Amino acid sequence: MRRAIWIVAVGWGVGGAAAPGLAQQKPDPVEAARAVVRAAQEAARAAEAEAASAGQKAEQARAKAQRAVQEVRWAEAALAHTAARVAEKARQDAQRAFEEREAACRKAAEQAARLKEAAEQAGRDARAAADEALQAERRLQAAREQLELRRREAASASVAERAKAEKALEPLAGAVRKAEEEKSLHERRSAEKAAAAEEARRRAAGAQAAADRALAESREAFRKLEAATAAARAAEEEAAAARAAALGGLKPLSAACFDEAKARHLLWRAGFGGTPEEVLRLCRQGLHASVRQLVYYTTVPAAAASFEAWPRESPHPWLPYEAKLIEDERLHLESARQEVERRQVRAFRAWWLGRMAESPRPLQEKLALFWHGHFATQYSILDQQGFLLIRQIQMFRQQATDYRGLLRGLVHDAAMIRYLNNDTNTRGKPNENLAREILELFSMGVGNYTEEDIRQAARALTGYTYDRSTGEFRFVRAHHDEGPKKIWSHTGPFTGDDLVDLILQNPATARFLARKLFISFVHDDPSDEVVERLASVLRESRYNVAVLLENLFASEEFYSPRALGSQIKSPVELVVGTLRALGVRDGPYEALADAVRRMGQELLEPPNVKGWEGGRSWIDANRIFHRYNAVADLIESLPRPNGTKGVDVVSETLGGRSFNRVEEVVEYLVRSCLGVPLSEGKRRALEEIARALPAPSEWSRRKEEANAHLRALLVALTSCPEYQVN
Amino acid sequence: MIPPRLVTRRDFLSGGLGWVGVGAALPSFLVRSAAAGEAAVRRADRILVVLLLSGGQDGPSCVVPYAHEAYARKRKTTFIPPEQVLPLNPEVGLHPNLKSLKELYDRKLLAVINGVGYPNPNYSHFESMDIWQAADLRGKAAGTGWLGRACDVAFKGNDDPTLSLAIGEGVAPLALRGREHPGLSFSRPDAFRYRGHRDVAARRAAYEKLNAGDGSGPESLQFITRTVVAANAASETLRERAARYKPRVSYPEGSLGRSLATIAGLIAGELPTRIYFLSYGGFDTHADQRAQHDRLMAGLDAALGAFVKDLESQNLASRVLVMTFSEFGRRPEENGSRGTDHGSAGPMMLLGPGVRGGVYFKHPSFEDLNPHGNFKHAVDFRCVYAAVLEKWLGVSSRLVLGDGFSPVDCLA
Repeated sequence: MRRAIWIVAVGWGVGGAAAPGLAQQKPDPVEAARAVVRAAQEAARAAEAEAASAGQKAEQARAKAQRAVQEVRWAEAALAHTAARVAEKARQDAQRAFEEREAACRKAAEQAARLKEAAEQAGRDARAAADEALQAERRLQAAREQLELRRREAASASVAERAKAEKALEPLAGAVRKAEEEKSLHERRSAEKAAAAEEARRRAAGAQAAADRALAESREAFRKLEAATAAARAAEEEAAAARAAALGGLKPLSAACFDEAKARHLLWRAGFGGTPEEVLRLCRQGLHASVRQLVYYTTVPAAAASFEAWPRESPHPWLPYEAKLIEDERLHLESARQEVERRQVRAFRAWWLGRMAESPRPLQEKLALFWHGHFATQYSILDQQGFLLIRQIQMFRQQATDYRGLLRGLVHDAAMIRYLNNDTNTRGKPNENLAREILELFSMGVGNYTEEDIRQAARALTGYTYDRSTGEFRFVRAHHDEGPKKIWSHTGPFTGDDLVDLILQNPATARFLARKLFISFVHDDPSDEVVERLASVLRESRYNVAVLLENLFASEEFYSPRALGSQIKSPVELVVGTLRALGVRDGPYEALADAVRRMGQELLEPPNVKGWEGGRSWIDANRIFHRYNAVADLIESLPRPNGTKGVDVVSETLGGRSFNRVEEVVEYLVRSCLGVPLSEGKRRALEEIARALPAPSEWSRRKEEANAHLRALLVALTSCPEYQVN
Repeated sequence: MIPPRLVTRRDFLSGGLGWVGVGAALPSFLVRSAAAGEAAVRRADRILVVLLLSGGQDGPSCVVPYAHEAYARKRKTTFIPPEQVLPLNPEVGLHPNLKSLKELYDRKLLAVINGVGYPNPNYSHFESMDIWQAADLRGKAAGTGWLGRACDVAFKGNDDPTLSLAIGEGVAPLALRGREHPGLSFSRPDAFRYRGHRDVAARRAAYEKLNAGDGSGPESLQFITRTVVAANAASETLRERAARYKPRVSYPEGSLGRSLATIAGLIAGELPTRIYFLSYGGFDTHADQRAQHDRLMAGLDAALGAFVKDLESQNLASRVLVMTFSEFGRRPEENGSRGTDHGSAGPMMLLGPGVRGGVYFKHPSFEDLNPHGNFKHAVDFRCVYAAVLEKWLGVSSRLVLGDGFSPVDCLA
């Protein structure tokens, strides 16, 4: 535009300077000047059009180039992914080969051992037979000598006696014959045994040689497996890096840096922590495999139990007769219903805590809790219709990684519609409550819309209500404002579903959600660049939160020193994490649901529509006492099947591990419980308490006594600032 | 009858400390005030009780502009007929359930300030709440609250954790947060203690060592350690003072009555606390407002009435000023749900012998509205704060609020 004006001004200048000359040929110089202006204007318009089209073309070319670059990145990612799969396949083959070799090796060794044993036995037998042959020979010798002696005696005896003496020789001669037979028998036997022993020796030597060969083969297979594993890990790392690049996400951590501290961090942030054994397992598994297993948790079987929630007035043959009840009966029915309702909500809170403590898919529960805080809905506002909120939370669990689905589900969700009064948002009488909070809290944040956008969004949501008896969503066309609405720069007869699409198209949404997820899972001060990268992952993955978390949990930022141990545990994390660290199952979940309420995180009852503030807001003088006391109560008073109380530390937490000294016990429990280092002075204070412990070798005999002291140690260890963070 | 002996601060320091260890865990206020002795507490010290009506109170349903013709026109389901209103002047009157407050008004102990707000009103509960509590249009970004800053100015170097107390579940509100004074909150004094050591000496010793600060480690750990140290120090005093207290009047059921009774007990127990903060919720009346608001007014009136009576019966009332506020008012025009949506300006009340009783400013017009269809404010809330700071707490309002807020002349 500026350029056109400039051209017009020049036109005027030319016209003015030429005016005297032109006046002689054409009588109307003004008209001539106007013509010059018109020509100049046309030229300007043409130039402008040309510039615009060139600009457009350049814009298109840029976009095309960008798409091409992006396609190259995805192609590279696909290539790296394939390479990683091939390498993984090779690793699995090597693993199988190694396992086969190892089995063969074990079998050959067993065979060699068996034959060696047999050869030794045959040797012993042969020696015994040789011994016996020797004995027989000696016996023959003796018999012969005896016979000879008597024969001489008989020869020198008188005639009268000679006959008698010769007669007496006969049995001796018989004995000699017998001894001769026996000798030859034993000699034969000995020779046989010796031959057998020789044979056994030969076979044993053969088996040993075979076993040695098998061992060498197995060693070779192990070397190959190691190489294949290293190759697979490298390919996996490359694939992760390529995927991160294609997504525009965060740079992955070098997998070699993944150590015990980092594995513990991952277990805590992607779930509710775990035992030192689980930390070691993750460490062995490696960074990327661990992240994938935690994030794509549908590959892990779900906990079987589910929670059925019922409407307060559930469909019942009673219903048609209700109108006929007398006042007393009605009150009775009402109070029975209230009691059922109260119990249902209590039971659900307990059930959910139990699920968090025991589910093999901790991230699913952690995300459900995250969404419960993000799309906060308070039970106390729902007129005792707890089943609406329980169903909402089931939706959070089922669609925990699909933000698109969740946001769409939210405008159709009876609990949310009731909570934010959208059931009274009707044509001509809009109620802005839901529209405002969707934009302010659920998707974009203040500063990305105007008050007018809220009014228009509220109109789009008119007629979105629910059926009070079934709790199902209902769209009442008669209450819907079908007129055109202008939201941002878009105009149309938008519905609530269109509103969700507009929100998802708006780049502010991915940024808002990325920032919130980062703060929730990493630390509270992400740079704009990090947020931008994570937002890119959300956009590239069509708001798949699992893809974002996969990128995030493998990233350098996630394991940076400012992230490790930087978060204050929420009450739920504190309690559930304690159960997981101590190896306690079937905890007193109803009592624990009350405990987390006192600490400021009542399930189904976030403080307001903004959800729990988190971070330092969990801690103040009042809440710190509730936190310390609740964990101490859990350790000291956990009800046990045999009627005693308190965590069975010896069996449940230490699980039969053997210790030599009390310092080792302290060290193990510190490692189980703390994610940040403990000062030397504090560790000594713990060891001081541990001195009262019986020697570990005595524990099985003096178990109750050992447990009492171990519980005191655990209470001290958990009642300290270090236990409040992870 | 022997009157119960007052446990003084000196008793507390000489014998009453209980297990609070001396050394690293002992906050310096204990050490310092041990030297200062009784001088640390003067009965003449004035106390401010701030009551938040949370959710955004509908102004016209509390201070009713019964003479405004447009009020009757624009309000159908929330309308209060003139004959039910308790008139304060020819223009406005109190909600019919505010009988005790009307009595206090007649005794010149109540000041009502109409149309309190601020420029470019924010309609988000959270952001507007932060603006009111920070007394700063940046809201939470300001980092501190106005009462916290007042403590920073007035009690520089005094780190007694009980200087400002919030009663209620949850953390101390932004209003109490100062740079040096974080504020302290608790819900019930008797539950305000650590009991994991089961009073076993060795375990208590370990607890103290594990919860002593050496000023090292990451910031979040240091923050927790500071909180624990302050909590341990305050726990014994609070429990002891509150347990000893027997109110002279009966308070209504519910958390507001309970909290005000606790405050009366702590005031009578000579705690050095200068600022109490509490909130009374349920004012976010988007639907079926009338019945809900009526209940809230009845509860408010009963609890405040009992509180004033209790203090008066002990000659403590002269030390106490109560101030109410809400994060915003509500829309002049009703919505389709027999309720009202978020709005802007609303009334504040100041209560106690320190006020100049009366009504200040005219009720905002129902016809001359701002571009969003909400009331235009008559006075900035910081001008009311300025009056409380200057006239009641004796703190320079300029240091707390900045320039440009001349105090409303509603305090003696």
